[in-house]
Amino acid sequence: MEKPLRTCLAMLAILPLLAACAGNPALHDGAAFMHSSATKAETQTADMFRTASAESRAVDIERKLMADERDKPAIARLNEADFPQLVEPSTARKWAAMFAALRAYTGALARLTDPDLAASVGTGLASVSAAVGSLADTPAMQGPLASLLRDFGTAVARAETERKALTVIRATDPAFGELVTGMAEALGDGDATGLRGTVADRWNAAALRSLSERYAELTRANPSAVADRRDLASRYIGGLEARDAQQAEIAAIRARLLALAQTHHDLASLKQE
Amino acid sequence: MALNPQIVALRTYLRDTIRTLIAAQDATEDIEVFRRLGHQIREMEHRSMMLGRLEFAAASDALSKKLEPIAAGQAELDAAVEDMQKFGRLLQTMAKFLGMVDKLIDTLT
Repeated sequence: MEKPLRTCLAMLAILPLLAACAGNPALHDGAAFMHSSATKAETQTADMFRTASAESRAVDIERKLMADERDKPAIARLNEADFPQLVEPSTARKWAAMFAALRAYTGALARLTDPDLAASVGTGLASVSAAVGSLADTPAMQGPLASLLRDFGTAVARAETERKALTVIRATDPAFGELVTGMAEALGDGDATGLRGTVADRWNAAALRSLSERYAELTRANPSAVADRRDLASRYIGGLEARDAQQAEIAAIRARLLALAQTHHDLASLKQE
Repeated sequence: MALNPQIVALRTYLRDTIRTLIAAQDATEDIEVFRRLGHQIREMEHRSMMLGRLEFAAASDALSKKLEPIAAGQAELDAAVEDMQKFGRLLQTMAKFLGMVDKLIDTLT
């Protein structure tokens, strides 16, 4: 057989293998999405914890002032126990550890399914073939053969990285789902459950109600103090807006976590192409 | 740390009571009743918040003990990435080595 013809036949034989190892972009896209979501949710949650604790302490300051005004103790004292943090530092650290684990896991998944990783193997294979040289029968065939070998190496490496990624995703999926949906559940669905329920109560039953009471007392004692009453009404409206923003923030983090769990589960159901 | 169901029940009771007190405060026209109810609502809400805080801490503690399978998965993925990187580097090294051998042969012949 003529040498160029033999090379062409070898190249044709590789083509079906290439097609069989075409790769699945959904895997890397899903992994990258999860990594981005976990990173964003981590930052959002840390900010939300700080804001919720600060606003909760503002509620406790008002409670303390009103209690001392009412009870008129001989010595009014300040105690740390009167101003608890809504999210304890030890609890915030546990959430930071959970997010760190999710970020590290999804990051590793994104790195393994990154097409550049498989491409580096293909490039290495093409370099070896170029160094061997004699694989191509004529100088004119060397370029196409190196290119084909690079694509072939990339496709084989990609098939292997995807196989490994899917194996790990499937094995981890039940634990991943339990953790992430558990985090979403702890944040709460609506105003009546979880941390969101506690935050809603702080606003509705304490912060806003205290302002309403201040307004009632001021109006009764000095109806002509319009500027002060206006200020209280403005603070009340500001409180309503802050409450709604905080509730929306918690709902957004919860939605992000649920999307993370769903994406992971969808990837676990993928068939390797 | 699983939270005692009695604490959960107590919190539910407190929240129900707060709602009743709020409705009563909204309905009264007596300023003394209004004040007393306001004080009761604040004190009950404070205790409900303390229980909610405890509930959230307990749920967080239980969740933080479920990280082992995630960490194990991450370790497997990291190892696979490293293997693939090593293989890519090995191929590059082989290519360089073959190039050096070719140069040596050229020099000798």
